Amino acid sequence: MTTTAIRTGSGWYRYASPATFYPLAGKMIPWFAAAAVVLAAAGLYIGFFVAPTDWQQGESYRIIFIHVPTAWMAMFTYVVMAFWCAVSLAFNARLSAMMAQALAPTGAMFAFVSLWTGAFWGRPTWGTYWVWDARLTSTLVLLFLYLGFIALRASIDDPRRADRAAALLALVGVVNVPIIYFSVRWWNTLHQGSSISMTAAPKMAQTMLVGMLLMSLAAWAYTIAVTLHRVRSIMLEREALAGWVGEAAAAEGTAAAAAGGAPR
Amino acid sequence: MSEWLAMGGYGFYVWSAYGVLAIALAVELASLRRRRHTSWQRVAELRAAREPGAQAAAPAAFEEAVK
Amino acid sequence: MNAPADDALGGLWWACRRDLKLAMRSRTELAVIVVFFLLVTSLFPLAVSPDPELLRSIAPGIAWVAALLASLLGLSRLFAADHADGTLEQMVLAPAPLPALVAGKVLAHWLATGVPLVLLAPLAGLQFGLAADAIAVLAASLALGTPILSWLGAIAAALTLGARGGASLLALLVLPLAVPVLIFGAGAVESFASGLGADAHLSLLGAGLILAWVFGPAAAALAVRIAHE
Repeated sequence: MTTTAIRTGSGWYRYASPATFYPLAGKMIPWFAAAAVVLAAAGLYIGFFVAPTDWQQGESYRIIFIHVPTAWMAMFTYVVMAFWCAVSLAFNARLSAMMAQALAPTGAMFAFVSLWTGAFWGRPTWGTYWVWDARLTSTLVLLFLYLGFIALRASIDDPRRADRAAALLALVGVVNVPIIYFSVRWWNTLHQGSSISMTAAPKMAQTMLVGMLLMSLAAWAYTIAVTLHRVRSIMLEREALAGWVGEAAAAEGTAAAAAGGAPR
Repeated sequence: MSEWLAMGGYGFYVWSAYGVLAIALAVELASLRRRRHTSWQRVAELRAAREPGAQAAAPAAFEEAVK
Repeated sequence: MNAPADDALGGLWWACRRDLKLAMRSRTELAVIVVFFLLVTSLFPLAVSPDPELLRSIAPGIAWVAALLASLLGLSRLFAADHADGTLEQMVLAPAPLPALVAGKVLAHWLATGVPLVLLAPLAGLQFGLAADAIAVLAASLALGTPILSWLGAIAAALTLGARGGASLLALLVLPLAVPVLIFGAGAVESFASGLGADAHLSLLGAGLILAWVFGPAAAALAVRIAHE
């Protein structure tokens, strides 16, 4: 039975407790970090040295290898964040709420970088730094949704209440995201003065798609590594007086003394 | 090499874009490190405040962790 | 006031009547919202240009943005007063279902602040030289859209109860969520003016209104409960 499993901490439910998840997360971080580096190296190599020059946009199109993956990650991270928010509300689980809290800054960062890289791609291609195309505009609204989530969390003092309020906000947001995207697409196509659309990317050579895919996987691995690191800090902050924190301190302290440096 | 850097004349745009990503990543990683450090400090403070004896019991471990 | 009835509909009417009575007592606040709307619409020609062609083309957008900002003004009042004197907590504990009580409050909010904006739309339309039928579409879009804004605002207002940051945090939470309403609302008038008809936009707004009334009460009630933990 599920409840028995949660109570006795068997199977995966064991990791729903910060005490057991903390060391697990610590072991996972190096693997995902390494994967991110390897995937990014491969993706950038293909993006810069294998993929051909676009006949229309020249070399400027190579920005696509970071613009599209960051846009996808911004969107995907919000959905994952909302998923953990739903779990935290349904099961009253604090660790899930901490995961959502840890995901938000990275998601916001990707949204911002996506907008910036989009602007620097748009300038040589269409003449202006900002174009109101559907995906860029939706990403802008998404950035505001992230900032609202972070701001709401920050403005409520009680951590559990902040968890639940921000969780509800994220769920309202995630339901709205498709509606926002649809409405912005509608608005964009109706005002079709120019055929500016960053979604209609240049006819993609196979290598371009491979490059973008590798960079997207790299961004995904990076996000996991960073989020795990951040959630460990959050766990320390919020569970400071728990017994396992003392043990973790001892463990990391001796490990650090042995390695001669600060724990990561 | 410099021809490659010029990116067919679009060098400013391409490297500004990749540059901002690099800066954003660097800022994020630095903030992660700082947050970890602050978290350990906070843990040490809270535990010391609760049980002054406990901190004396394992001062070395906490100081290593805080560094 | 006597206690709310036990059932949903009774609770809804009780909360609505109560809030309307309270709103009538602070009529100046409501007047301020209305004046704010007209003030904002008047600022745009001053900031942009008095060219009639230009103004006629951007009128729907300006009217809608002004309505959006004006509706933000009344939102912090929605729960704050009841929260401060403990009435909200009593509502949480009352036998009547909390979603119904919240729905009553939101309905009262719309009647007190949304409906005046709908009625004022013709004035704004005249300011910008909109044709009479375009003004009718503007009023219709506002009639469908302002209740949606009331619901989005209610959820955000409940979430920010007891949070620092006040009205600006509320605006940060509401405005991104209000983007579709803005797009379809202003788009309805533009679409009508360009001869394509406003049916699609108004239907989408109608669908949004139904969604808001179906999911809003539960979401806002949950937010109120969270604020009282």
